[in-house]
Amino acid sequence: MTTVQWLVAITISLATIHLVLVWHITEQSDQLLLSALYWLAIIISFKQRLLRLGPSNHWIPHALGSLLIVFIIYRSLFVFLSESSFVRIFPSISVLGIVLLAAGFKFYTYWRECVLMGILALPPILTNQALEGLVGHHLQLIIAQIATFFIHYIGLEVTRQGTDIILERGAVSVAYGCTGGDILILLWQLCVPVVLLVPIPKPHRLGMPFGAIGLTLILASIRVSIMAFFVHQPALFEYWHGDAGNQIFSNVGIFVFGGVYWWITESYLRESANPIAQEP
Amino acid sequence: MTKSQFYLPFIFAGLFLTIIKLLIAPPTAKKYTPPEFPQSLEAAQEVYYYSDLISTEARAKSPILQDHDPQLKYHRVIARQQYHSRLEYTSPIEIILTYVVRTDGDWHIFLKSANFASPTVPKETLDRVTDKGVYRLWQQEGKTHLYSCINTRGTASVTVSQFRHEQYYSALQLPHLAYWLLGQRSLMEDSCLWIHLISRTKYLSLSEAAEEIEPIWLDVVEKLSTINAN
Repeated sequence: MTTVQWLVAITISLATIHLVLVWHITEQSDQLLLSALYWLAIIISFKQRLLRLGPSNHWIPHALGSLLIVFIIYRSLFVFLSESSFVRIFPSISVLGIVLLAAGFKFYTYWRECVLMGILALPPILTNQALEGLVGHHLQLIIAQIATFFIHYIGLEVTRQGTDIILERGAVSVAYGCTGGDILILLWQLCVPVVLLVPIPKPHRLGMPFGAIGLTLILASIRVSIMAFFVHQPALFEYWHGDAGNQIFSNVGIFVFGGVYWWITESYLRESANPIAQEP
Repeated sequence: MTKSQFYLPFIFAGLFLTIIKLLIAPPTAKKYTPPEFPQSLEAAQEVYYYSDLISTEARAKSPILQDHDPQLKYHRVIARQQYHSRLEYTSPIEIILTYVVRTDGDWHIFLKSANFASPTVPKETLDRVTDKGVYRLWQQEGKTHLYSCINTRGTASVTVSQFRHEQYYSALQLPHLAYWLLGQRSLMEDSCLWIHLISRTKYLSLSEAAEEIEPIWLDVVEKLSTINAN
């Protein structure tokens, strides 16, 4: 095997360990999907750049990179279920290690991969708190308005007072947790690898974050409508209010968002490969 | 592959074996050791004695104390102890210590788990900032309650954001990082020793109550700051 092949094999192994840890420690399918997409983007980009630039031969960065990966191995063997912080910083340390092995002191040539891993390391709680502080109340109001509209068109009697949705069978109050802030952050995280690595036209790139906002508003409003619909049935209400119900919506968000951009990218690449077909 | 990169297959082999290990034996739950609470606490020139009330009556009533499931993901209470200034239960001040793991220091969740003392979240509260951190006071049914969560550094907090701030601060300390690198500690410490002080004395305002209760709380924090330390 060549050096490039060994380095790609090491990257795939690191990705596999990370995904196993994400699954066991966070138990969140949306985080698993997001991490898998990031790793896929990194492996493809890393391989392309490595083939173009070639591996370096400096022993100092190689030693440092090896040390970081040995640390990852050691820590992964003794990690506890409560160490979600390790899962978050795992990709950053891994990519730094692999980039040092591949590029030596010219590790900055792999800045895209490092940026991607830095974004994956952002603690969701902090980003969610920041979003809540900035636009939390506005989101609550908008979701309450859209959900009231949906419920009205289902045919139920409904009124709204601020963030409270009042039906004959009961009332629900739209708290920040129901606004899909976590889904929005997830979709924005999903935008980054596409913007950085996929060659799509600029308007589509710029439109991605706004598309994520629209999709989140629709998904969160549907979820709130379902909760309001089942407000008189505690078991069903709790299911959609809880983590399981939320996971369904965030997974749907990832699939819809990913699907739309896969389709856009495919169409663009097809048109770029066949420019004559564009002419009338 | 050049001569200088002979070690790449060894790194790959190490990673491959790690994958197999994680698939065969996935990560396990951390084992927490309950702290050893002292027999008595001396605070503000008064001695508070260990009481059996919690371990008999309340243990039977409180579902959280019966929960010894090591896989419980959040807010696992692993020890609780109560102290009175006299041996009977009519003393003006009582102190309840609760050791919680896998927590984010959320006082709402703690209040729910300690529901024998105060079932509802009060509307009017007073937060006081001291050298030892923050505590929260309120009055309910003729009693004044003080709550604070003491982290592994011996600093007090009440809200999730205060607890997280302390977590991140601790994580960036060099000795803590060294222990974490060696696999002996988690990067983010998730244990908390809740101190709950209850006073039966009637106060005109929360500020007045703070003047009276704060010295006791400060002494208790001073005495117990090492109990939650690593």
